[in-house]
Amino acid sequence: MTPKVLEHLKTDEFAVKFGFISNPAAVRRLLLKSNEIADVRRALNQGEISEGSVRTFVNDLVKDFRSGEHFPHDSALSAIAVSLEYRATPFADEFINDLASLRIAELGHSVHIARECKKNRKHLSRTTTKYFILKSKPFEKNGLRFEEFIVPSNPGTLTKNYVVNDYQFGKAA
Amino acid sequence: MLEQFRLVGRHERSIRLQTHAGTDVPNIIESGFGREHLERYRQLRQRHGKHWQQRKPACGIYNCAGFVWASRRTSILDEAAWELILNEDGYRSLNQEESPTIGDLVSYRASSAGFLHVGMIVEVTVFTDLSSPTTKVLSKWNSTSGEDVHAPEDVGHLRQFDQEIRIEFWTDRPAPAKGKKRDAESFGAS
Repeated sequence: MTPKVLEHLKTDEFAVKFGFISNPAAVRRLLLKSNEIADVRRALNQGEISEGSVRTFVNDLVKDFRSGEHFPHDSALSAIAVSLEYRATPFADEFINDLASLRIAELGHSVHIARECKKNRKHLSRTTTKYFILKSKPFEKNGLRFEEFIVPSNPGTLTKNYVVNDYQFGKAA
Repeated sequence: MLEQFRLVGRHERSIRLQTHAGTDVPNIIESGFGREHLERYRQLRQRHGKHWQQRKPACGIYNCAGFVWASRRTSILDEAAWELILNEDGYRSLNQEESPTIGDLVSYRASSAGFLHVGMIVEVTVFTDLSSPTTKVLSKWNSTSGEDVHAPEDVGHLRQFDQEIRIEFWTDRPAPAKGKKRDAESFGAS
């Protein structure tokens, strides 16, 4: 099921609000200040939606593509690009770069908006974020072999997990 | 992720378009509209266009800037190109004492978002009691909408973003004697 904040981006209400402005640069600026984009960003940052669900959402949008006809979800693609503009992840890179590089007649605003987003991403920090799984030395307790490890389930949040006898997994209390 | 667009989409097409000074103007001939666009245009008119008068039903290819500066042949999406055309084609903004006339342009600029729209004056009504004349604008809202005639202030859909909207009138007519002088020579005047 598509998360509500994403689902709203493909509604007529959203398209009517942002789709009848002919200047993509202005649309991007308006989107940046909009509640709709703030909601998507918040949901992504707080882990309510994952980048995987955004990918699934985009793949679903693409199914409505008809050659020779203006893409019906152009505004939604624009919104995703703007939502990911300040996100320093490989997924955000991939989406914005892919969209910005398109040169097809069926997409108008979203491609231009992605190009604007790409320009602005150059100002983002060049620091690369890498996530590591931290493991403790194996130890025994009550005859069972334990190994504690910490996995980043979402960027910015760490979940402490443990493994028992190398095959049972669970979350630490 | 967006590979399907690349595989199935039609390669974008543009025409040779230049300003009066010879600078290239980037443009794209956009695709036609689908049923979703038709429905959204209907909703736009229902919500914001009760007093609009339709000149032409929904069509593709050109946006507002393509309508006023490229004779409905293509879309001009690049904001810098709008500024460029206004400068290099010799437009000047009307001062408060001047009245717009048919063929002048009207632009809508949001305080912190920039140009939102540009349209063309198609009707000017002058009153005998010397009150300010009223004008009507012809607009193509986006590259899938139709063309509508409306009052300059009747643009509710541009006013829903908590931004101050500045309406500016532009003309290519020579400035009145007391106003800013126009470089007539550069526009072919002998």
